[in-house]
Amino acid sequence: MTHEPRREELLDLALGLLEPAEARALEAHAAACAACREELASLRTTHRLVASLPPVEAPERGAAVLMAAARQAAAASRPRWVMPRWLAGGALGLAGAAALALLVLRVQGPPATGPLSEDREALLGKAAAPAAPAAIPAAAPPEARAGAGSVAAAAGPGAPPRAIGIDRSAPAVAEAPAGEERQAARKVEVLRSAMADGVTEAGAARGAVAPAGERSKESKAVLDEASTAARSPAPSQAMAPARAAAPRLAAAANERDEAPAPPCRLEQRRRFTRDGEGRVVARLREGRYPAAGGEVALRVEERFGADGRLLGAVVRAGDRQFTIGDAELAAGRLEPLPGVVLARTAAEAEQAPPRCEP
Amino acid sequence: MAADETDEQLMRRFQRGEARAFETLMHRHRTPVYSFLLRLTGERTRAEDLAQETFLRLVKGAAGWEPRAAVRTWLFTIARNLAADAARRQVFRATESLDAPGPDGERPRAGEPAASGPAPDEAAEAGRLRLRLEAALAALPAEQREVFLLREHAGLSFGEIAEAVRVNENTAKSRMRYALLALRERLAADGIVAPAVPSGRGPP
Repeated sequence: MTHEPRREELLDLALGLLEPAEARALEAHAAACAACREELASLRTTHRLVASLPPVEAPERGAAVLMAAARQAAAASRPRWVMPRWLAGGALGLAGAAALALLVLRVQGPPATGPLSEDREALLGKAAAPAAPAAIPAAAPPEARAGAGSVAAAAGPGAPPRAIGIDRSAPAVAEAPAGEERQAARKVEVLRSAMADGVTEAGAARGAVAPAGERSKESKAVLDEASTAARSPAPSQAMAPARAAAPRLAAAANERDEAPAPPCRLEQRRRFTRDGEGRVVARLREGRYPAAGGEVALRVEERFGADGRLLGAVVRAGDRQFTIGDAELAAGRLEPLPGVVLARTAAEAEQAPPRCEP
Repeated sequence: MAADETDEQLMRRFQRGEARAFETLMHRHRTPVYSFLLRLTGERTRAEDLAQETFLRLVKGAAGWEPRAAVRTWLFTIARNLAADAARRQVFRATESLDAPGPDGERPRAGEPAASGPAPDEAAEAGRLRLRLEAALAALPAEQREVFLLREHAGLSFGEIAEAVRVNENTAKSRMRYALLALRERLAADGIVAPAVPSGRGPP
Protein backbone atom coordinates (compact mmCIF):
# COMPACT_ATOMS: atom_id res chain seq x y z
CA MET A 1 0.00 0.00 0.00
CA THR A 2 1.35 3.45 -0.86
CA HIS A 3 1.03 6.18 1.70
CA GLU A 4 -0.71 8.84 -0.40
CA PRO A 5 -4.21 7.36 -0.66
CA ARG A 6 -4.00 6.58 3.01
CA ARG A 7 -3.37 10.24 3.73
CA GLU A 8 -6.44 11.23 1.76
CA GLU A 9 -8.42 8.82 3.85
CA LEU A 10 -6.96 10.21 7.04
CA LEU A 11 -8.17 13.59 5.94
CA ASP A 12 -11.65 12.20 5.46
CA LEU A 13 -11.47 10.50 8.80
CA ALA A 14 -10.48 13.74 10.51
CA LEU A 15 -13.37 15.50 8.82
CA GLY A 16 -15.82 12.77 9.65
CA LEU A 17 -16.47 11.99 6.02
CA LEU A 18 -15.93 8.25 6.22
CA GLU A 19 -18.57 5.60 6.65
CA PRO A 20 -18.53 4.12 10.16
CA ALA A 21 -17.08 0.81 8.98
CA GLU A 22 -14.30 2.48 7.01
CA ALA A 23 -13.63 4.80 9.90
CA ARG A 24 -13.24 1.94 12.31
CA ALA A 25 -10.84 0.12 10.00
CA LEU A 26 -8.70 3.20 9.55
CA GLU A 27 -8.69 3.98 13.25
CA ALA A 28 -7.43 0.45 13.83
CA HIS A 29 -4.69 1.00 11.30
CA ALA A 30 -3.72 4.35 12.79
CA ALA A 31 -3.51 2.77 16.23
CA ALA A 32 -0.80 0.51 14.95
CA CYS A 33 0.99 3.04 12.74
CA ALA A 34 2.85 5.92 14.37
CA ALA A 35 3.04 8.05 11.23
CA CYS A 36 -0.67 7.76 10.54
CA ARG A 37 -1.45 8.37 14.17
CA GLU A 38 0.56 11.58 14.20
CA GLU A 39 -0.89 12.73 10.93
CA LEU A 40 -4.41 12.04 12.11
CA ALA A 41 -3.84 13.79 15.42
CA SER A 42 -2.44 16.85 13.67
CA LEU A 43 -5.36 17.02 11.26
CA ARG A 44 -7.85 16.54 14.03
CA THR A 45 -6.30 19.19 16.20
CA THR A 46 -6.34 21.61 13.31
CA HIS A 47 -9.93 20.81 12.58
CA ARG A 48 -11.01 21.06 16.18
CA LEU A 49 -9.18 24.33 16.80
CA VAL A 50 -10.50 26.17 13.78
CA ALA A 51 -13.96 24.69 14.01
CA SER A 52 -14.27 25.74 17.62
CA LEU A 53 -13.58 29.41 17.04
CA PRO A 54 -16.33 31.16 18.96
CA PRO A 55 -18.87 33.22 17.06
CA VAL A 56 -18.42 36.95 16.92
CA GLU A 57 -21.35 38.70 18.55
CA ALA A 58 -23.56 40.47 16.03
CA PRO A 59 -24.02 44.18 16.66
CA GLU A 60 -27.50 45.15 17.81
CA ARG A 61 -27.94 48.18 15.67
CA GLY A 62 -29.83 46.68 12.77
CA ALA A 63 -32.33 44.77 14.88
CA ALA A 64 -34.92 47.53 15.15
CA VAL A 65 -35.04 47.92 11.40
CA LEU A 66 -35.48 44.20 10.90
CA MET A 67 -38.29 44.10 13.42
CA ALA A 68 -40.00 46.98 11.69
CA ALA A 69 -39.83 45.08 8.43
CA ALA A 70 -41.08 41.94 10.11
CA ARG A 71 -44.03 43.70 11.72
CA GLN A 72 -44.95 45.14 8.41
CA ALA A 73 -44.75 41.75 6.75
CA ALA A 74 -46.71 40.17 9.53
CA ALA A 75 -49.41 42.79 9.27
CA ALA A 76 -49.61 42.16 5.56
CA SER A 77 -50.07 38.46 5.99
CA ARG A 78 -52.62 38.58 8.79
CA PRO A 79 -55.75 39.37 6.74
CA ARG A 80 -55.43 36.01 5.03
CA TRP A 81 -56.46 34.50 8.28
CA VAL A 82 -58.76 37.09 9.64
CA MET A 83 -60.90 37.70 6.63
CA PRO A 84 -62.42 34.30 5.99
CA ARG A 85 -63.54 34.01 9.57
CA TRP A 86 -65.62 37.12 9.68
CA LEU A 87 -66.60 37.01 6.06
CA ALA A 88 -67.95 33.51 6.42
CA GLY A 89 -70.32 34.91 9.00
CA GLY A 90 -71.79 37.17 6.36
CA ALA A 91 -70.47 40.22 8.04
CA LEU A 92 -70.52 42.51 5.06
CA GLY A 93 -72.40 43.02 1.86
CA LEU A 94 -70.84 42.27 -1.47
CA ALA A 95 -69.87 45.81 -2.14
CA GLY A 96 -68.29 46.23 1.20
CA ALA A 97 -66.26 43.13 0.74
CA ALA A 98 -64.96 44.14 -2.64
CA ALA A 99 -64.26 47.58 -1.37
CA LEU A 100 -62.30 46.21 1.49
CA ALA A 101 -60.39 43.96 -0.84
CA LEU A 102 -59.23 46.94 -2.82
CA LEU A 103 -58.33 48.77 0.29
CA VAL A 104 -56.31 45.90 1.54
CA LEU A 105 -54.41 46.04 -1.71
CA ARG A 106 -53.90 49.70 -1.26
CA VAL A 107 -52.72 49.46 2.26
CA GLN A 108 -50.47 46.54 1.56
CA GLY A 109 -48.87 48.31 -1.31
CA PRO A 110 -48.30 46.92 -4.76
CA PRO A 111 -48.27 43.18 -5.20
CA ALA A 112 -45.49 40.72 -5.33
CA THR A 113 -43.32 41.98 -8.14
CA GLY A 114 -41.65 44.95 -6.54
CA PRO A 115 -38.28 44.72 -4.85
CA LEU A 116 -38.07 44.93 -1.15
CA SER A 117 -37.78 48.48 -0.05
CA GLU A 118 -34.23 48.99 0.91
CA ASP A 119 -34.69 52.27 2.60
CA ARG A 120 -34.27 51.28 6.18
CA GLU A 121 -35.22 54.68 7.44
CA ALA A 122 -38.54 54.44 5.68
CA LEU A 123 -39.04 51.04 7.20
CA LEU A 124 -38.31 52.39 10.60
CA GLY A 125 -40.80 55.13 10.01
CA LYS A 126 -43.37 52.56 9.11
CA ALA A 127 -42.92 50.63 12.27
CA ALA A 128 -45.27 52.98 14.02
CA ALA A 129 -47.93 52.88 11.32
CA PRO A 130 -51.11 51.03 12.18
CA ALA A 131 -51.68 47.52 10.97
CA ALA A 132 -54.76 48.68 9.19
CA PRO A 133 -55.94 45.64 7.21
CA ALA A 134 -56.22 43.40 10.18
CA ALA A 135 -57.95 46.04 12.18
CA ILE A 136 -60.80 46.79 9.83
CA PRO A 137 -63.02 43.76 10.22
CA ALA A 138 -63.02 43.73 13.96
CA ALA A 139 -63.68 47.42 14.13
CA ALA A 140 -66.48 47.54 11.60
CA PRO A 141 -69.57 48.88 13.31
CA PRO A 142 -72.37 46.41 13.85
CA GLU A 143 -74.81 48.31 11.65
CA ALA A 144 -72.59 47.55 8.68
CA ARG A 145 -73.25 43.89 9.11
CA ALA A 146 -76.52 44.02 7.24
CA GLY A 147 -75.23 42.84 3.90
CA ALA A 148 -76.62 39.85 2.09
CA GLY A 149 -74.32 36.99 1.25
CA SER A 150 -70.78 36.21 2.15
CA VAL A 151 -67.65 37.05 0.33
CA ALA A 152 -67.17 33.46 -0.59
CA ALA A 153 -70.28 33.96 -2.68
CA ALA A 154 -69.05 37.27 -4.04
CA ALA A 155 -65.83 35.76 -5.18
CA GLY A 156 -67.81 33.21 -7.09
CA PRO A 157 -67.25 29.51 -7.54
CA GLY A 158 -63.68 28.48 -8.20
CA ALA A 159 -62.30 31.64 -6.77
CA PRO A 160 -60.72 31.02 -3.42
CA PRO A 161 -61.28 33.59 -0.71
CA ARG A 162 -57.79 34.92 -1.16
CA ALA A 163 -58.75 36.12 -4.62
CA ILE A 164 -60.05 39.12 -2.77
CA GLY A 165 -56.98 41.04 -3.55
CA ILE A 166 -54.71 39.32 -1.12
CA ASP A 167 -51.79 37.95 -2.93
CA ARG A 168 -50.20 35.09 -1.08
CA SER A 169 -46.89 35.97 -2.59
CA ALA A 170 -47.33 39.63 -1.79
CA PRO A 171 -44.09 41.18 -0.63
CA ALA A 172 -43.59 41.19 3.04
CA VAL A 173 -42.66 44.80 2.96
CA ALA A 174 -44.68 47.37 1.10
CA GLU A 175 -42.83 49.97 -0.85
CA ALA A 176 -44.92 52.91 0.16
CA PRO A 177 -43.38 55.45 2.50
CA ALA A 178 -44.76 55.99 5.94
CA GLY A 179 -46.87 58.98 5.00
CA GLU A 180 -48.67 57.01 2.40
CA GLU A 181 -49.61 54.34 4.83
CA ARG A 182 -51.01 56.84 7.26
CA GLN A 183 -53.02 58.25 4.39
CA ALA A 184 -54.23 54.78 3.63
CA ALA A 185 -55.24 54.32 7.22
CA ARG A 186 -57.25 57.52 7.03
CA LYS A 187 -58.94 56.20 3.92
CA VAL A 188 -59.89 53.12 5.81
CA GLU A 189 -61.63 55.39 8.23
CA VAL A 190 -63.52 57.05 5.40
CA LEU A 191 -64.53 53.75 3.98
CA ARG A 192 -65.67 52.42 7.27
CA SER A 193 -68.02 55.36 7.61
CA ALA A 194 -69.22 54.78 4.09
CA MET A 195 -70.02 51.22 4.87
CA ALA A 196 -71.89 52.27 7.92
CA ASP A 197 -74.06 54.31 5.59
CA GLY A 198 -74.82 51.22 3.61
CA VAL A 199 -72.93 50.42 0.48
CA THR A 200 -74.53 47.87 -1.76
CA GLU A 201 -74.55 47.20 -5.43
CA ALA A 202 -74.59 44.34 -7.84
CA GLY A 203 -71.39 45.36 -9.54
CA ALA A 204 -69.57 44.73 -6.33
CA ALA A 205 -67.49 41.92 -7.67
CA ARG A 206 -65.73 44.36 -9.96
CA GLY A 207 -65.30 46.84 -7.18
CA ALA A 208 -67.87 49.35 -8.38
CA VAL A 209 -69.68 51.05 -5.58
CA ALA A 210 -72.93 52.91 -5.86
CA PRO A 211 -72.87 56.24 -4.13
CA ALA A 212 -75.09 56.42 -1.11
CA GLY A 213 -74.67 59.93 0.13
CA GLU A 214 -71.67 62.19 0.27
CA ARG A 215 -69.51 59.87 2.28
CA SER A 216 -69.94 57.10 -0.20
CA LYS A 217 -68.86 59.38 -2.99
CA GLU A 218 -65.72 59.99 -1.11
CA SER A 219 -65.22 56.33 -0.59
CA LYS A 220 -65.73 55.74 -4.30
CA ALA A 221 -62.91 58.16 -5.00
CA VAL A 222 -60.80 56.35 -2.49
CA LEU A 223 -61.58 53.07 -4.14
CA ASP A 224 -60.76 54.35 -7.59
CA GLU A 225 -57.47 55.55 -6.32
CA ALA A 226 -56.96 52.28 -4.54
CA SER A 227 -57.50 50.24 -7.65
CA THR A 228 -55.23 52.50 -9.65
CA ALA A 229 -52.58 52.17 -7.03
CA ALA A 230 -52.98 48.45 -7.07
CA ARG A 231 -52.22 48.37 -10.77
CA SER A 232 -49.24 50.67 -10.82
CA PRO A 233 -46.19 50.44 -8.66
CA ALA A 234 -45.76 53.08 -6.06
CA PRO A 235 -43.41 55.83 -7.18
CA SER A 236 -41.21 55.20 -4.21
CA GLN A 237 -40.40 51.83 -5.65
CA ALA A 238 -38.67 53.40 -8.60
CA MET A 239 -36.86 55.66 -6.21
CA ALA A 240 -35.49 52.85 -4.12
CA PRO A 241 -31.80 53.52 -3.62
CA ALA A 242 -29.55 51.36 -5.72
CA ARG A 243 -27.49 50.48 -2.74
CA ALA A 244 -29.05 49.69 0.59
CA ALA A 245 -28.55 52.51 3.01
CA ALA A 246 -27.08 50.84 6.02
CA PRO A 247 -28.93 51.52 9.23
CA ARG A 248 -25.94 53.16 10.79
CA LEU A 249 -26.33 55.94 8.26
CA ALA A 250 -29.52 56.98 9.94
CA ALA A 251 -27.47 58.37 12.75
CA ALA A 252 -24.73 59.81 10.58
CA ALA A 253 -24.18 63.52 10.48
CA ASN A 254 -24.60 63.66 6.74
CA GLU A 255 -27.97 64.76 5.51
CA ARG A 256 -29.30 63.62 2.21
CA ASP A 257 -31.96 65.10 0.13
CA GLU A 258 -33.68 63.81 -2.90
CA ALA A 259 -33.84 66.59 -5.40
CA PRO A 260 -36.69 66.28 -7.81
CA ALA A 261 -35.39 65.64 -11.28
CA PRO A 262 -37.54 65.73 -14.39
CA PRO A 263 -38.14 62.42 -16.08
CA CYS A 264 -35.06 62.24 -18.16
CA ARG A 265 -33.18 59.35 -19.68
CA LEU A 266 -29.68 60.09 -18.45
CA GLU A 267 -30.84 61.34 -15.14
CA GLN A 268 -33.91 59.87 -13.54
CA ARG A 269 -32.83 60.41 -10.04
CA ARG A 270 -30.54 62.81 -8.25
CA ARG A 271 -29.46 62.87 -4.68
CA PHE A 272 -27.22 65.13 -2.68
CA THR A 273 -25.29 64.23 0.39
CA ARG A 274 -24.58 67.15 2.69
CA ASP A 275 -22.34 67.58 5.63
CA GLY A 276 -23.44 68.88 9.00
CA GLU A 277 -23.27 72.43 7.72
CA GLY A 278 -25.43 71.82 4.72
CA ARG A 279 -22.62 71.82 2.18
CA VAL A 280 -22.96 69.38 -0.65
CA VAL A 281 -20.28 66.73 -0.31
CA ALA A 282 -21.58 64.33 -2.91
CA ARG A 283 -24.04 64.07 -5.70
CA LEU A 284 -25.46 60.86 -7.03
CA ARG A 285 -27.27 60.67 -10.31
CA GLU A 286 -28.91 57.62 -11.77
CA GLY A 287 -30.46 57.06 -15.12
CA ARG A 288 -30.17 55.01 -18.28
CA TYR A 289 -27.49 55.17 -20.90
CA PRO A 290 -27.85 53.98 -24.47
CA ALA A 291 -25.74 50.98 -25.33
CA ALA A 292 -25.53 48.43 -28.07
CA GLY A 293 -28.73 46.43 -27.95
CA GLY A 294 -30.58 48.67 -25.55
CA GLU A 295 -29.87 50.63 -22.43
CA VAL A 296 -27.76 50.11 -19.38
CA ALA A 297 -28.00 51.56 -15.92
CA LEU A 298 -26.04 54.74 -15.47
CA ARG A 299 -24.76 55.84 -12.13
CA VAL A 300 -22.67 58.93 -11.59
CA GLU A 301 -21.25 59.82 -8.23
CA GLU A 302 -19.28 62.96 -7.64
CA ARG A 303 -17.57 63.95 -4.49
CA PHE A 304 -16.81 67.49 -3.48
CA GLY A 305 -14.31 68.85 -1.04
CA ALA A 306 -14.93 71.28 1.79
CA ASP A 307 -14.05 74.10 -0.59
CA GLY A 308 -16.77 72.88 -2.94
CA ARG A 309 -14.40 71.69 -5.63
CA LEU A 310 -14.84 68.36 -7.38
CA LEU A 311 -12.55 65.77 -5.80
CA GLY A 312 -13.35 62.88 -8.02
CA ALA A 313 -16.09 60.80 -9.50
CA VAL A 314 -17.07 57.28 -10.32
CA VAL A 315 -19.19 56.71 -13.38
CA ARG A 316 -20.75 53.36 -14.02
CA ALA A 317 -22.59 52.49 -17.19
CA GLY A 318 -23.70 48.88 -17.18
CA ASP A 319 -20.57 46.85 -16.59
CA ARG A 320 -18.17 49.61 -17.40
CA GLN A 321 -16.79 51.84 -14.75
CA PHE A 322 -14.76 55.00 -15.02
CA THR A 323 -12.96 56.53 -12.14
CA ILE A 324 -12.17 60.19 -12.45
CA GLY A 325 -9.35 61.11 -10.15
CA ASP A 326 -6.70 63.78 -9.89
CA ALA A 327 -5.06 62.96 -13.21
CA GLU A 328 -8.30 63.19 -15.15
CA LEU A 329 -9.37 66.34 -13.38
CA ALA A 330 -6.01 67.97 -14.02
CA ALA A 331 -6.42 67.14 -17.66
CA GLY A 332 -9.89 68.70 -17.59
CA ARG A 333 -11.63 65.49 -18.59
CA LEU A 334 -15.04 66.19 -17.21
CA GLU A 335 -17.07 64.20 -19.68
CA PRO A 336 -16.21 60.52 -19.17
CA LEU A 337 -19.05 59.49 -21.46
CA PRO A 338 -20.70 61.60 -24.12
CA GLY A 339 -23.40 63.58 -22.36
CA VAL A 340 -22.29 62.63 -18.89
CA VAL A 341 -20.82 65.85 -17.61
CA LEU A 342 -19.30 66.26 -14.21
CA ALA A 343 -19.78 69.37 -12.16
CA ARG A 344 -16.61 71.28 -11.35
CA THR A 345 -18.03 72.52 -8.08
CA ALA A 346 -20.72 71.62 -5.61
CA ALA A 347 -22.56 74.81 -6.49
CA GLU A 348 -22.58 73.83 -10.12
CA ALA A 349 -23.84 70.38 -9.15
CA GLU A 350 -26.74 71.92 -7.30
CA GLN A 351 -27.69 74.37 -9.99
CA ALA A 352 -27.03 72.60 -13.24
CA PRO A 353 -30.15 71.37 -14.98
CA PRO A 354 -30.14 67.69 -15.79
CA ARG A 355 -28.76 66.58 -19.08
CA CYS A 356 -31.27 64.32 -20.70
CA GLU A 357 -29.63 62.94 -23.80
CA PRO A 358 -26.08 62.09 -24.74
CA MET B 1 -43.65 31.79 22.15
CA ALA B 2 -41.05 29.40 23.40
CA ALA B 3 -37.33 29.52 22.90
CA ASP B 4 -37.30 25.79 22.23
CA GLU B 5 -39.55 26.00 19.22
CA THR B 6 -37.90 24.87 16.02
CA ASP B 7 -36.97 27.37 13.36
CA GLU B 8 -39.62 25.85 11.17
CA GLN B 9 -42.36 26.27 13.75
CA LEU B 10 -41.34 29.87 14.23
CA MET B 11 -41.34 30.42 10.52
CA ARG B 12 -44.85 29.08 10.24
CA ARG B 13 -46.02 31.43 12.92
CA PHE B 14 -44.31 34.32 11.21
CA GLN B 15 -46.08 33.38 8.00
CA ARG B 16 -49.33 33.60 9.91
CA GLY B 17 -48.55 37.14 10.90
CA GLU B 18 -46.71 36.87 14.19
CA ALA B 19 -43.85 39.29 14.05
CA ARG B 20 -42.53 38.09 17.39
CA ALA B 21 -41.83 34.69 15.94
CA PHE B 22 -39.46 36.40 13.57
CA GLU B 23 -37.87 38.19 16.48
CA THR B 24 -37.02 34.86 18.07
CA LEU B 25 -35.63 33.57 14.79
CA MET B 26 -33.58 36.68 14.35
CA HIS B 27 -32.09 36.53 17.83
CA ARG B 28 -31.30 32.90 17.37
CA HIS B 29 -29.43 33.34 14.12
CA ARG B 30 -28.05 36.85 14.04
CA THR B 31 -24.75 36.06 15.63
CA PRO B 32 -24.08 32.86 13.68
CA VAL B 33 -24.97 34.58 10.42
CA TYR B 34 -22.94 37.66 11.25
CA SER B 35 -19.92 35.60 12.34
CA PHE B 36 -20.14 33.60 9.17
CA LEU B 37 -20.23 36.73 7.05
CA LEU B 38 -17.49 38.40 9.04
CA ARG B 39 -15.16 35.47 8.55
CA LEU B 40 -16.16 35.13 4.95
CA THR B 41 -15.61 38.76 4.04
CA GLY B 42 -13.11 39.84 6.67
CA GLU B 43 -14.84 43.19 6.95
CA ARG B 44 -17.01 44.22 9.81
CA THR B 45 -19.15 46.82 8.08
CA ARG B 46 -19.67 44.66 5.08
CA ALA B 47 -20.61 41.69 7.23
CA GLU B 48 -23.03 43.86 9.13
CA ASP B 49 -24.69 45.10 5.96
CA LEU B 50 -24.87 41.64 4.50
CA ALA B 51 -26.31 40.15 7.67
CA GLN B 52 -28.94 42.84 7.70
CA GLU B 53 -29.77 42.18 4.10
CA THR B 54 -29.91 38.44 4.74
CA PHE B 55 -32.62 38.87 7.34
CA LEU B 56 -34.51 41.32 5.20
CA ARG B 57 -34.52 38.70 2.47
CA LEU B 58 -35.87 36.24 4.98
CA VAL B 59 -38.68 38.63 5.83
CA LYS B 60 -39.37 39.22 2.18
CA GLY B 61 -39.30 35.58 1.25
CA ALA B 62 -41.16 34.30 4.28
CA ALA B 63 -44.49 34.12 2.48
CA GLY B 64 -43.07 31.77 -0.11
CA TRP B 65 -41.16 29.58 2.28
CA GLU B 66 -42.20 25.97 2.49
CA PRO B 67 -41.63 23.70 5.46
CA ARG B 68 -39.56 21.35 3.33
CA ALA B 69 -36.64 23.76 3.42
CA ALA B 70 -34.70 24.11 6.65
CA VAL B 71 -34.71 27.74 7.70
CA ARG B 72 -31.09 27.60 8.79
CA THR B 73 -29.92 26.27 5.45
CA TRP B 74 -31.96 28.84 3.64
CA LEU B 75 -30.61 31.64 5.77
CA PHE B 76 -26.98 30.69 5.24
CA THR B 77 -27.54 30.17 1.57
CA ILE B 78 -28.90 33.69 1.31
CA ALA B 79 -25.99 35.02 3.31
CA ARG B 80 -23.46 33.16 1.23
CA ASN B 81 -24.99 34.31 -2.05
CA LEU B 82 -25.14 37.91 -0.92
CA ALA B 83 -21.50 37.73 0.09
CA ALA B 84 -20.57 36.18 -3.24
CA ASP B 85 -22.41 38.93 -5.10
CA ALA B 86 -20.75 41.55 -2.98
CA ALA B 87 -17.34 40.05 -3.71
CA ARG B 88 -18.06 40.16 -7.41
CA ARG B 89 -18.92 43.80 -7.09
CA GLN B 90 -15.81 44.63 -5.16
CA VAL B 91 -14.44 46.65 -8.02
CA PHE B 92 -17.16 49.11 -7.18
CA ARG B 93 -16.02 49.56 -3.66
CA ALA B 94 -14.88 53.07 -4.47
CA THR B 95 -18.42 53.81 -5.49
CA GLU B 96 -19.89 52.36 -2.38
CA SER B 97 -17.58 54.20 -0.07
CA LEU B 98 -19.20 57.38 -1.25
CA ASP B 99 -22.52 56.18 0.03
CA ALA B 100 -21.27 54.72 3.22
CA PRO B 101 -18.08 56.18 4.52
CA GLY B 102 -17.09 54.20 7.57
CA PRO B 103 -16.64 56.06 10.84
CA ASP B 104 -13.00 56.61 10.01
CA GLY B 105 -12.34 54.19 7.24
CA GLU B 106 -11.14 51.54 9.64
CA ARG B 107 -11.38 47.98 8.50
CA PRO B 108 -10.88 45.81 11.52
CA ARG B 109 -9.76 42.29 11.11
CA ALA B 110 -12.08 39.46 11.88
CA GLY B 111 -11.97 38.24 15.39
CA GLU B 112 -9.88 41.03 16.71
CA PRO B 113 -10.20 40.78 20.47
CA ALA B 114 -11.89 43.69 22.13
CA ALA B 115 -9.47 46.23 23.45
CA SER B 116 -9.27 45.83 27.19
CA GLY B 117 -7.01 46.38 30.12
CA PRO B 118 -4.09 44.15 30.92
CA ALA B 119 -5.17 40.54 30.75
CA PRO B 120 -3.75 37.57 32.56
CA ASP B 121 -1.14 35.70 30.57
CA GLU B 122 -3.46 32.84 29.95
CA ALA B 123 -6.15 35.03 28.45
CA ALA B 124 -3.55 36.83 26.37
CA GLU B 125 -2.27 33.52 25.13
CA ALA B 126 -5.79 32.39 24.25
CA GLY B 127 -6.30 35.68 22.46
CA ARG B 128 -3.12 35.21 20.48
CA LEU B 129 -4.10 31.68 19.55
CA ARG B 130 -7.47 32.87 18.44
CA LEU B 131 -5.93 35.54 16.28
CA ARG B 132 -3.72 32.96 14.64
CA LEU B 133 -6.69 30.71 14.00
CA GLU B 134 -8.66 33.56 12.52
CA ALA B 135 -5.69 34.49 10.39
CA ALA B 136 -5.32 30.93 9.17
CA LEU B 137 -8.99 30.87 8.25
CA ALA B 138 -8.75 34.24 6.56
CA ALA B 139 -5.78 33.06 4.52
CA LEU B 140 -7.77 30.26 2.89
CA PRO B 141 -8.90 30.73 -0.67
CA ALA B 142 -12.45 32.07 -0.57
CA GLU B 143 -14.00 28.95 -2.07
CA GLN B 144 -12.40 26.75 0.55
CA ARG B 145 -13.20 29.15 3.35
CA GLU B 146 -16.88 29.30 2.53
CA VAL B 147 -17.16 25.54 2.47
CA PHE B 148 -15.31 25.25 5.76
CA LEU B 149 -17.50 27.88 7.40
CA LEU B 150 -20.74 26.48 6.04
CA ARG B 151 -19.79 23.08 7.33
CA GLU B 152 -18.21 23.86 10.68
CA HIS B 153 -19.86 27.09 11.75
CA ALA B 154 -23.19 26.95 10.00
CA GLY B 155 -23.57 23.20 10.37
CA LEU B 156 -24.75 22.51 6.85
CA SER B 157 -24.44 19.06 5.34
CA PHE B 158 -22.25 18.62 2.28
CA GLY B 159 -25.39 18.17 0.23
CA GLU B 160 -26.69 21.50 1.45
CA ILE B 161 -23.33 23.15 0.95
CA ALA B 162 -23.15 21.82 -2.58
CA GLU B 163 -26.52 23.37 -3.28
CA ALA B 164 -25.65 26.69 -1.66
CA VAL B 165 -22.33 27.00 -3.44
CA ARG B 166 -23.65 25.48 -6.66
CA VAL B 167 -21.04 22.79 -7.06
CA ASN B 168 -21.42 19.05 -6.76
CA GLU B 169 -21.02 17.33 -3.45
CA ASN B 170 -17.63 15.84 -4.28
CA THR B 171 -16.27 19.26 -5.10
CA ALA B 172 -17.58 20.58 -1.82
CA LYS B 173 -15.87 17.75 0.02
CA SER B 174 -12.60 18.18 -1.78
CA ARG B 175 -12.62 21.90 -0.97
CA MET B 176 -13.07 20.93 2.62
CA ARG B 177 -10.07 18.62 2.43
CA TYR B 178 -7.90 21.30 0.86
CA ALA B 179 -9.10 23.73 3.49
CA LEU B 180 -8.09 21.42 6.28
CA LEU B 181 -4.68 20.76 4.73
CA ALA B 182 -4.03 24.46 4.20
CA LEU B 183 -5.14 25.27 7.74
CA ARG B 184 -2.88 22.61 9.15
CA GLU B 185 0.06 23.84 7.11
CA ARG B 186 -0.47 27.35 8.35
CA LEU B 187 -0.96 26.38 11.97
CA ALA B 188 2.05 24.09 11.77
CA ALA B 189 4.13 27.00 10.51
CA ASP B 190 2.98 28.90 13.60
CA GLY B 191 3.99 25.95 15.74
CA ILE B 192 0.41 25.36 16.86
CA VAL B 193 -0.04 21.86 15.48
CA ALA B 194 2.32 19.14 14.39
CA PRO B 195 3.48 19.48 10.80
CA ALA B 196 2.54 16.96 8.16
CA VAL B 197 4.34 13.69 8.48
CA PRO B 198 6.83 13.59 5.62
CA SER B 199 5.95 10.85 3.18
CA GLY B 200 8.31 7.94 3.29
CA ARG B 201 8.27 7.82 7.03
CA GLY B 202 5.12 5.82 6.80
CA PRO B 203 4.57 2.17 7.45
CA PRO B 204 5.24 -0.44 4.77
